[in-house]
Amino acid sequence: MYFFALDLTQTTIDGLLFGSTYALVAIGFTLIWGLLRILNLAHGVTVMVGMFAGMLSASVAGLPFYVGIVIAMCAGGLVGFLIDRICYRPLRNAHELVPMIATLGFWILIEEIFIKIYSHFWFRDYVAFPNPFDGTGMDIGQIRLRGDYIVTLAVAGLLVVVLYVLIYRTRLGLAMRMIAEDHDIGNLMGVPVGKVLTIAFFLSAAYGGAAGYLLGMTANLAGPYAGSQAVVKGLFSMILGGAGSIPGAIVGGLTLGVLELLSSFLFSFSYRDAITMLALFIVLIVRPQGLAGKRLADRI
Amino acid sequence: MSYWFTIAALTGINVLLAYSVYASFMSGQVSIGQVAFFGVGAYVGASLTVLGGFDLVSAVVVAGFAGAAASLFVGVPTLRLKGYHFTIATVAFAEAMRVVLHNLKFGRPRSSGNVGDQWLGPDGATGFRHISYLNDHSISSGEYAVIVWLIVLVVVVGFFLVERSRIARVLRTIEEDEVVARSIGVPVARYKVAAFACGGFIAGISGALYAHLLTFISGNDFIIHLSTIALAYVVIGGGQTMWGPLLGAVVFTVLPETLRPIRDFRIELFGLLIILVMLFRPTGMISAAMVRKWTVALTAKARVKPLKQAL
Repeated sequence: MYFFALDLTQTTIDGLLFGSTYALVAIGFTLIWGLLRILNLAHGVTVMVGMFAGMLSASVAGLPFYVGIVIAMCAGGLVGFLIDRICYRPLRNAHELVPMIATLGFWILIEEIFIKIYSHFWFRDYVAFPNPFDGTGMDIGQIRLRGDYIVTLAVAGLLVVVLYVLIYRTRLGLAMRMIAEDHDIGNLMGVPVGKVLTIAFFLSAAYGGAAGYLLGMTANLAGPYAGSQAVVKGLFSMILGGAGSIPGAIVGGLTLGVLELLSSFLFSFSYRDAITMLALFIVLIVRPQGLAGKRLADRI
Repeated sequence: MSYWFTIAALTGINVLLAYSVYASFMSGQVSIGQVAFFGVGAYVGASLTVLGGFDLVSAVVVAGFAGAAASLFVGVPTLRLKGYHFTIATVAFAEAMRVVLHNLKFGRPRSSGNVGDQWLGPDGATGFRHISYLNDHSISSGEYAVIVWLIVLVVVVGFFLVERSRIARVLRTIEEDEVVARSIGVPVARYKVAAFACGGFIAGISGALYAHLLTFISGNDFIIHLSTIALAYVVIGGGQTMWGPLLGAVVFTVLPETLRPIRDFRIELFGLLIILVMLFRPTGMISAAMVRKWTVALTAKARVKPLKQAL
């Protein structure tokens, strides 16, 4: 019984630490959803690009961790800029579904091109992603905290604080909150809506890139399909916590991480995803606004 | 030639999938989870012919009902909510369903077969192999394409009739404004659930046809990607009228296959085409205004004719 309790605690803590990467992916989603009410399906591309930029910077160029993550964020952000220019900006007056389908097209196009390039250079499903924190760790009593998980949590925490300062303490953040409230009024008040949205896309994608780096590093692997997997996890974290809210994305990501590890610990690995999705589904029915979302006024 | 028949059958299956999205799309409910009902239909339909000894047509019909039942399971609790929560719930359900199908195992041992391949029925992550109904009953790929397209024809005629009925007007009113619809006495939730269940039924049929065409299915065939592509067929073809899903699914299945010289790049082409159509025709390829213009043109000609004869 004692060991069971110990394992349970260990699993929960690992889940919390690992869930912070999901939270980062979800933040990227939720920024765009909150501002524009579109699902940016191409968000996985930014995760994938961030992961490979990080992998190349670490294994080929041999750059240290903190430089790699900045490179990954810039590379991801660049993709976000492209998404804005190709899929969103020309379509801002169309129905909300139209830019969403355009991001689907972008996702398919870029991922396929990337897989072609990838299989030209590497003949495996995955390549190694050097993990400088491999084997390091910290012991608290009998609980062991993996070094790379601690770093992940620290980076995610730092990025969240930066985002908070940006949104609640700067004029840019004020403009973003204005746009989230109402585009047209924002425009009337002299907010340069297009410019602010471009920055939002860049920011969302930069967070995706950082998540890609951390995901690759903790798994020790980088693969061309990682983006698609991350899209599903990030999307679910966002939904679980409450679409459009940043605290929601964080709560959702951490909860998803814990749920995943706990369900594979308590039940079986093969049903892990089914159990987490079922939990998510129940949350949606019982609390449709998500765990941390605002109460819904409209109920028909 | 049989290659083209297979493409024809696959096109029909995609058309059905597009219509399954369109059914609830008419009332403004966007589902990104049709792949769940498609998958349920595929597994139910294949199990019935392989293990239950059903004939194809009744297996397909039962699969349709299974798809509808699954869609009720999602639709009843979530369609009462306004806005995006329905869309999001469909995504979650589809992903849960994929994992369940991926782990499903039932059936019986096969009398023949190589080592490691002696199971009849869904076998967990290895998938569901030997769905050999078409081969056993010597149905050629051409005949199968005809069967598929007959079903498509029934569905298209059904939508054609619905589009001209009161039901479509009610659904479009719900899409426009739910509060208004409610204020004039429309049972909004009931209509939305019914439309979604019809979509689930069509997706189930489509899945059963898909399983028999492919003869091998596995849980990982039914990823979210497929649902978003089904939605893309509708949005690209045009969600305002019933012709949109048909055109969208046909063009976007056939075109990448026919352009043989660039076959290796057909998925890239698919993505590029989606972006281009959205950029240049945000209403989709066919808009309601176009259909109205053509209908007027056609009926005008018909009206003018007797006058000319009279002169």
